[in-house]
Amino acid sequence: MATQPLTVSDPEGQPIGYVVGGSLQSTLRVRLTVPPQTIQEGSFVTIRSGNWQFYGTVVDLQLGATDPRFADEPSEARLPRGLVDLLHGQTLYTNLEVLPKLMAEIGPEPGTPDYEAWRSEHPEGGRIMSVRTVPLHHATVRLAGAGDVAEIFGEPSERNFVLGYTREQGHPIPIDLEKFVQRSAGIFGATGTGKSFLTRMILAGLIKYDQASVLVFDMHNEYGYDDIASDTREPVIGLRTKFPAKVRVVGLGQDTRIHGRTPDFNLVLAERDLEPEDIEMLTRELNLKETTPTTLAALVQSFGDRWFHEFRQMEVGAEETDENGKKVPAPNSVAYWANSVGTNVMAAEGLHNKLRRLFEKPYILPDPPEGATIQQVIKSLEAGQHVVLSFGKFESDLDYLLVTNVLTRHIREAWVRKTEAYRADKSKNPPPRPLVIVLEEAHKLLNRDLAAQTTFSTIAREMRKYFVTLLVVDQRPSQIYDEVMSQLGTRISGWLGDESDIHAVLSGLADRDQLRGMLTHLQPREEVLVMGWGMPMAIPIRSRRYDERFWNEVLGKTDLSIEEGLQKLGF
Amino acid sequence: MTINFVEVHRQIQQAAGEAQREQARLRDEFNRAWETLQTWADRLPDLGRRVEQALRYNPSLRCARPGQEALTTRVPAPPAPTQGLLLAADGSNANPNHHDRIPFGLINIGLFGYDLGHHRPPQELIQSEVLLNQDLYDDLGTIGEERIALERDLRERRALLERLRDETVTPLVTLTDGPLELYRQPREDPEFHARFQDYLRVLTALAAQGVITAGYVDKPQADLVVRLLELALLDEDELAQAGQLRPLRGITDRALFGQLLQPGERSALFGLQSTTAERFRQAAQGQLELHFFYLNVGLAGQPKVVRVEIPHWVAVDTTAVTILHGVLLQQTQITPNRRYPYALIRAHELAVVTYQDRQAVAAMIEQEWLNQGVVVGEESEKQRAKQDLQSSSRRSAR
Amino acid sequence: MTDQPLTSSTPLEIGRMLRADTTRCVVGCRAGQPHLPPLGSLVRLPVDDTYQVYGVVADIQVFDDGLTRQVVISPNLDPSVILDNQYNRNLPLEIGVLFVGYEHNGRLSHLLPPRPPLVLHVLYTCTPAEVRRFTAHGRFGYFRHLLRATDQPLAEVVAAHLQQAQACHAQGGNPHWAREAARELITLLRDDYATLATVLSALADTELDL
Repeated sequence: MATQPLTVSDPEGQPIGYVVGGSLQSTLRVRLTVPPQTIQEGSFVTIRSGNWQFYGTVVDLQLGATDPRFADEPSEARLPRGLVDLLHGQTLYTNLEVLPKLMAEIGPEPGTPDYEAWRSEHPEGGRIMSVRTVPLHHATVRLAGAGDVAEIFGEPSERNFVLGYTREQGHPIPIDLEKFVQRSAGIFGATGTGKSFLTRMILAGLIKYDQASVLVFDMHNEYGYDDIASDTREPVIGLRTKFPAKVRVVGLGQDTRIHGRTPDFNLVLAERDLEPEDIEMLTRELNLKETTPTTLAALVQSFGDRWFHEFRQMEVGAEETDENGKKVPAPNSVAYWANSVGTNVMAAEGLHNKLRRLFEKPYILPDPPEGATIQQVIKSLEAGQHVVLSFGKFESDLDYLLVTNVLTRHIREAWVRKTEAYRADKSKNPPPRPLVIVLEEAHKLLNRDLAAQTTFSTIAREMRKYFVTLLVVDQRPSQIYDEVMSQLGTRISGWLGDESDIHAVLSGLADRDQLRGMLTHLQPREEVLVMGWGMPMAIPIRSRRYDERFWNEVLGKTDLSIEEGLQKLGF
Repeated sequence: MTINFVEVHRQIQQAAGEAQREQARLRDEFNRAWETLQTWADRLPDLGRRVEQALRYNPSLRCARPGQEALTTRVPAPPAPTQGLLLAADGSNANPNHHDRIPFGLINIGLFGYDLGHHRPPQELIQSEVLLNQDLYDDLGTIGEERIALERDLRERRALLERLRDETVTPLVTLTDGPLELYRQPREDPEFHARFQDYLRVLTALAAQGVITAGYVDKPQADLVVRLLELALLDEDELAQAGQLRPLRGITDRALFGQLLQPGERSALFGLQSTTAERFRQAAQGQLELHFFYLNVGLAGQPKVVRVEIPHWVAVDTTAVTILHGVLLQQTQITPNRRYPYALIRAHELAVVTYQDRQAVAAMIEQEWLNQGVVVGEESEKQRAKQDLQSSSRRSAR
Repeated sequence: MTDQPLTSSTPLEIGRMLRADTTRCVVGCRAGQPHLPPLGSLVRLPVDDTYQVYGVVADIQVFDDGLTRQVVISPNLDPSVILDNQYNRNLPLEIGVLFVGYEHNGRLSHLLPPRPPLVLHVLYTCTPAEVRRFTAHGRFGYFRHLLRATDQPLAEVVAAHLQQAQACHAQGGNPHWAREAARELITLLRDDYATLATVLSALADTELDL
């Protein structure tokens, strides 16, 4: 499995201090016996007390003195070095605040007769549970060793996908992909914190693990094919490149090319795929009037699922001269239709004008060609493939909002149907394949105004009832509706500059106060805090690098092929 | 108790009046003595004659004899000698006490050697002698305090002689506290005579070695020179009553020379006329004849006059007298407030036998007596009662 | 006296005990003792064949008397007089010793001696081997006796003691004794800022390599 990227200089399970106080309700106080710089906030520590082992994270470091005068007085100037060290060693100290999260009965010291007896009574070892008592005074606190980390976070495997490494000692920290997809999850971080790399890695893990299908709304065409990183100008490998058979890159609109390449297939929306709520959802984007629902209802009343097609054909202001020489609305005009159904002409004409931006979209056709439909996407997902929907040149918010919503609504409906069939007769119908929908710039769809209207918030709330969950990727979590935020299971967050974003990421979690500190102090790059329902306990990690080595590890290659080697050398 | 203050006051008033009259008389007499000193300063042969005349009537006459120097001679302080050895001796004794269970006596002699050139640190020497059994008795029974004092003085001088026998540095100066004459009136018993002869032999030996020997009298009460002046004041026919007629009674030599001598100055050398002194004069071809001079070891405005007794062989040696003069001034300046020779202070300190010392020796004796099975007499009840009163020290260890 | 080694390789008889209480004693000896144990040094007072008491010199008092008071005001003091008073004269010198432990039947203890020595018991200096043995016994338990003596220049006594004992330990090949001792002192005194500051300041003035 993953080799550790950091030099391990400390022996495993190095003692760092002993418990001096604290409470289960808050945190444990630990007197540090090593220099404070060797420990960081968020360090994963173990506390051995009797037959129990406790696991927790460092949430604060505090400088203390047995007498404030020892701290006030800079004795370095008056006393020789050795004496100062001795003095400070005893009068000045650092206390850690450790947030205990888990505990396990691990029995007496291994190797003792007591341990053998205990082992025979507990053949499978101790069970890890939430912390519900405290260790004794003076219990030894250690930096968690690789074994402790594995005990809590699991041994790295395809299912336990290594997301990064502990900051001090570089022990691998995996996430359980099985749990990860069981609830909607989120990846957050300010721009430049490596969100999209992290997303790529998780997607690679999910695809490799292959127990769920992934649908990526790739607004900026980053995930499918190889790309150039915006900041470093380095080539970035796309998922399709590494999983050519499993990943389908879908281009929005006919003849759309992505990075100059023809996608695996194209997606065109059929006019009948659109429903009035899809339009209502665009109220703000299109600056729609409050009369819109009425008009839309009249349209559906008149034309059924062809409403969009018919409305699209109408013209505003088309007139003809009647027998009396008087100008009247032409039969193909909006006013004509409005008058005929008794709805407000002005409102209908206004809506038509506003919807003109949609009518002009080339990816909405009366009849999409075979193999370029929503059904095709659903089929691919059902077949166990993973879909990256690249928006190509349709990069506006309008495109994004409309397409993601329409597509997701249809997909969800499909999964709801399959789920109900499965529930109705489990012997005949297989369970639907779990699906993860990856939502870039999620706040555009999940903000307070829209959340209620889109399918996404429904999915987030439903959790895994219909085997569909979201993976929300965003740099402004505060803009996401807090009801949605609080439903997120696993949360992975890089550095966030804005207090409201930090608050949002932590919403609905216990120990928010402690986690806030860890989140605030993350390095702006390559460090993330992993927390939430999917994790045994929150832990800050140094994230894996998305590079050749990552792919070698994920794809199980231990050595570079000759070609890749030559390529790396620039041939 | 009530005091009759009226009566007491009357008596005090009366006494004060008498004291005032006495003081006035003494003042007058002092002035008279002073005038006589000035008048007779250089009439030394006359004075000598008068002494001889008076002696014819009164052989036990005690007074100063004029020497070669005028009565008002003032010899200024010489520089302190920078070489030689000063040896001071002092003795102390514990007398037999009939309350002791085992009677004993103790003589302790302290010698203090002071290198005048400061080439070596001072030396201390202590000689202790316990008198037991037969030592405590003579033909007349238990020996008395006088006899022990005599033994002590004799041992002092003997110790000086022994210490100096092989000494090669010069000059050698010895100093003892008190007159060179022996302590107390001599008794005409054979034991005393024998001791006195011993003493004279020691002095003779010192003389032979040329040791500058001196006795130091710290607070002289004598009126030897005053008595000499009285002889001058008497008419020729009154000389027969010399010693009985005392026109200057109450005036001391000390007062007279306190007026005459400036700090550091010594007086003229005088001979000592007394019956005891006569015995010294008759020995060793006159070498041991006693002389003296007065010396002001005090400060300006605070005269302190002491008498220094020297034997003949020193008195005739001008250099020796000068050295002695210088040594004594140097020694008395070491303790500015006390003005007493340092070497003598130290010799006394070495010699002194304290009560505790005496008790320790008594305990040692008793222990040994017991060890050897000698029957010990009972301590007297009186002694035991006194002991019980000696409360032990309750000082804390802090 | 500075020419003297800190501790003699053979025990030297210094003086005899004058008085004592539970925690300390006073030993009398002659002034001008050539081997006077320095402040802070470890000493012992054998009581009998099986029992001896250990102490640390915490106080040395030199007494004067009437003569020294006389001599001291002399305008020009002869060298002979100075030497005489320093070395000849029987002026008492009292050594204050804090009890720090005892040895009974060959077993050391850092507790206070169960009973103090008696009057006139002899005070000896300790050899380096004895110093090493006593000071390395246990975990510096005897320090509490030193630190209790607040009526003494405690910091100076402690610093002097560490310096001398370390010299003995260095002879025995242990360069770290004083460092451990200093660590223990800090532990004992860390709640007493004023005393600790004084002790550390005194330690800083030693030549100990801490």
